[in-house]
Amino acid sequence: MDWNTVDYYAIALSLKVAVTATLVALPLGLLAAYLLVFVPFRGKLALELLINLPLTLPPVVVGYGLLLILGRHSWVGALLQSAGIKILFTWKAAVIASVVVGFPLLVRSIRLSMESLDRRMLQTAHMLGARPLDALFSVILPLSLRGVLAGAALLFARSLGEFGATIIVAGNIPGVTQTIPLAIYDYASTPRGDSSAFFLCGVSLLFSLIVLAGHEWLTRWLIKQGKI
Amino acid sequence: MDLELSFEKKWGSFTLHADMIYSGQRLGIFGPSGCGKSTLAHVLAGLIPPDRGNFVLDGLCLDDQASGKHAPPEKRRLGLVFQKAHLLPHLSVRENLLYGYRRVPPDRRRLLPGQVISRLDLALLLNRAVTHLSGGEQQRVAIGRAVLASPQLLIFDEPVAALDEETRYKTMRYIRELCQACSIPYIYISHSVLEMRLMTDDVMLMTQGRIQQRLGSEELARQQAGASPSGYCNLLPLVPQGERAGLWNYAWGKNELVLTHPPYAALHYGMPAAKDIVLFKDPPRAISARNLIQGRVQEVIAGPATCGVVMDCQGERLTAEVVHAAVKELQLTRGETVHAAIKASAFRILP
Repeated sequence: MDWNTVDYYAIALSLKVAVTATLVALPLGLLAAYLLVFVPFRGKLALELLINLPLTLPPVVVGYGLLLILGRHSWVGALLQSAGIKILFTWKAAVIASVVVGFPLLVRSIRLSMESLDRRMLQTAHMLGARPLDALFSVILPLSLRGVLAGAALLFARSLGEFGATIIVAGNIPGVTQTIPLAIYDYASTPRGDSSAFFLCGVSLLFSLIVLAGHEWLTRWLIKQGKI
Repeated sequence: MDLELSFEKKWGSFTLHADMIYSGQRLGIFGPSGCGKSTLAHVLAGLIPPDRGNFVLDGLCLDDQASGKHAPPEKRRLGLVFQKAHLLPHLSVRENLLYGYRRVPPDRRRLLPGQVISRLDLALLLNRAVTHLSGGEQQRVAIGRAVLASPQLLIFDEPVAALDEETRYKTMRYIRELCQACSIPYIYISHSVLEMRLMTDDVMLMTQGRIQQRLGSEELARQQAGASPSGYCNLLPLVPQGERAGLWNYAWGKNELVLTHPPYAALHYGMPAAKDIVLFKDPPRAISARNLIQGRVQEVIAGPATCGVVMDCQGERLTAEVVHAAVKELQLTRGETVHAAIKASAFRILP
């Protein structure tokens, strides 16, 4: 194994994209799950379908949709361009692709946790003077922590493995937007790239194991502390 | 509390109609399961908005159909204690107790946590996780938590139904004494006549979603006596006086009673069943029953098979259940003097 040929940039970029995507998606996921579980409003089914759509669509289709939305011919793209913000074919586009593709997993997990919460506990908190936002932070979030952790772990892992949507919106530019899966794709189709591809596969496996084991350990620790 | 309410709430095929005006400290809502008692509690607490109607508590309008006003639960200053404690599992006993207290503006706090903690005997449990408490302890924490939020009115929705018998009466005693000491009025919801007698002065009788009748809790007990296999039970407040020759002496008003049961605390309730009391026109010469009490007949209530003979025993009320023939033979009429014999072992003792 020649350590000089190791693609450190792809490894670092994958981690950067996964961490950022998780941090960006978490508050949005919490808000979406809260709305779906606790707030009655018209169009709930439409929101639910919209959130879950990337779960059933091929990632390439999701990526193409994002390309159309963020491209300069759309009003979003035009707005971004006039503000001098470049998204497409940068690492930020990889983050957006990861957030959109992993979002249903995150919301589903948090939502299940929120739905299993005893409503009487929430009613009691209101009776004791907690306003809706106060109850969200003092009751709903702490008691949904297990689902939040599971959702975050799923999104992080999904982000590490994201390929189809990322290649469309971020491209596959070595040293700029090339994450581990994109680098493996490149090495696998390059003569004498086998060892690099194999090495990155091992790194992917290691990251996946760390995420899963870390999630398990954290959940058990929180249960032991009586926090969840 | 001064309470005035009139509202309607439809719930599937069930409709709740509630109309009442009440002024007092301890109100009971009594009725069979499914009659709408808990729905009424939820509407009062603001957890369910009524379809139409008004609710005014101590001059403050909480629901008003005309102006479309519906005060949310967090702004009502009402406490609600359910059958289950619903403590927050991620918080300790102390944090649970202070959950509502911390959300009350300091100038509106009426009680200090120490007062409530000591009255409910919670001092040794403060740092424990709530998941490590027994059912009775959990319910005591829930009661303390509700009281510390300084509510204008507390609503207890079957608060002891999930507890074992001994814990049930102890918990009721805690509620009674704490609410009395803190001057907090309450509404107590239950389908148990005994709980109504122990916890309330006045009762609203509910059936099929409607408040049918308002009556005193003792009156309710007499009315419902036929529904219980033991019939009517007297509820006598007893003060322990000490032990003598293996039996326990208690003061019941100006009367003295001898029981086989030792005391739990400073005040108890002794419950001799009316049908276990034997009446004599003249005092018997020798008798095995340890309690022979002289009384004057106040009222004879004729039932289908038996009569309830209500006596005044030096200012205390005692009821005996005898057959019609005995009433006739003993000529039991208002003002007659009678002697009631009760065995020392015939008392059920409640803490």
